[in-house]
Amino acid sequence: MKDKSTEQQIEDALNSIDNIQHASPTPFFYTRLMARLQKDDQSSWGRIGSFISRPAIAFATILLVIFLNVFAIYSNSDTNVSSTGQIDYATVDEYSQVSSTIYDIENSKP
Amino acid sequence: MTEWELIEQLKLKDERAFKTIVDTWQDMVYNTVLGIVQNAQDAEDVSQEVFIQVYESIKSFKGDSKFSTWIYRIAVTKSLDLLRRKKRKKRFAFIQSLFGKNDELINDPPDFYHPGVAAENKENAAVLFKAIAALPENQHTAFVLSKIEGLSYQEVSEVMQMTEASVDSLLHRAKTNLRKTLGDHYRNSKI
Repeated sequence: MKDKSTEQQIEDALNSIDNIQHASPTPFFYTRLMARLQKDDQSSWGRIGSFISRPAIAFATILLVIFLNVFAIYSNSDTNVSSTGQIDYATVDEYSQVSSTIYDIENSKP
Repeated sequence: MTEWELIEQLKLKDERAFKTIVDTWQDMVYNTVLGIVQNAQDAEDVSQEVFIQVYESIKSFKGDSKFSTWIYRIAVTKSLDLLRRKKRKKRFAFIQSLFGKNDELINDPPDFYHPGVAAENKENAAVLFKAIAALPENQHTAFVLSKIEGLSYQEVSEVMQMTEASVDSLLHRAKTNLRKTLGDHYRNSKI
């Protein structure tokens, strides 16, 4: 008896959309549509933003940034090391600048 | 103006042609979208997106299908896109709540009452629509196009780009799943 009642409820639910009428949007749908179309036309930054914010694009961009950072760090850590383990300061000497300031000139006078 | 003339005018971005197209198809688009997304505000937004897509992509319409079929396909695609976005948002919010970062309650959406359903059937229809929303995408789409939009099997097959036999199979499986979901609902409500 209970099962039959459940079966009847199922049938009633399935039949509830028989002769369903079509729904319509609220009035002035076209007016709102045109306003949105014109707004979308003006906002090219909005389109760029919505493109970048797509998950696949955003994820790929993040991966690219991480890869570039790792590559930069790996490249910079590749310095010359001598057999004794001391860092070679030759490059430092090559780039050292001898600058004369007014204090050096004054001090050098007898 | 014939349909083909309208389309040619729309390709030239003629506003009168666009208005005629919107006036002709807005009810069809809105009803289809509403049946899939089950929310009036979302249906309005998606319907606008459908016509914007029609306006922007009209040059890609080659006439190898009926114009109505082409519009139905856009409506179905946009509707399913929205449902997928909502699911992703819900999943993300759930994960955030696991880390205590989101205090928002993850609520079930309220019951959906389709405005085209007769008053005496509204409660039963609300239960049915909830069961429809739980169907897999293809079954959901086929059921809405056939039972709510009233398309023939041939028209549904053209929109979904599959054979009539496949549509028949989808609808059969949809009904089986709906019976199971409804059965569970009514049995649980009696406990």
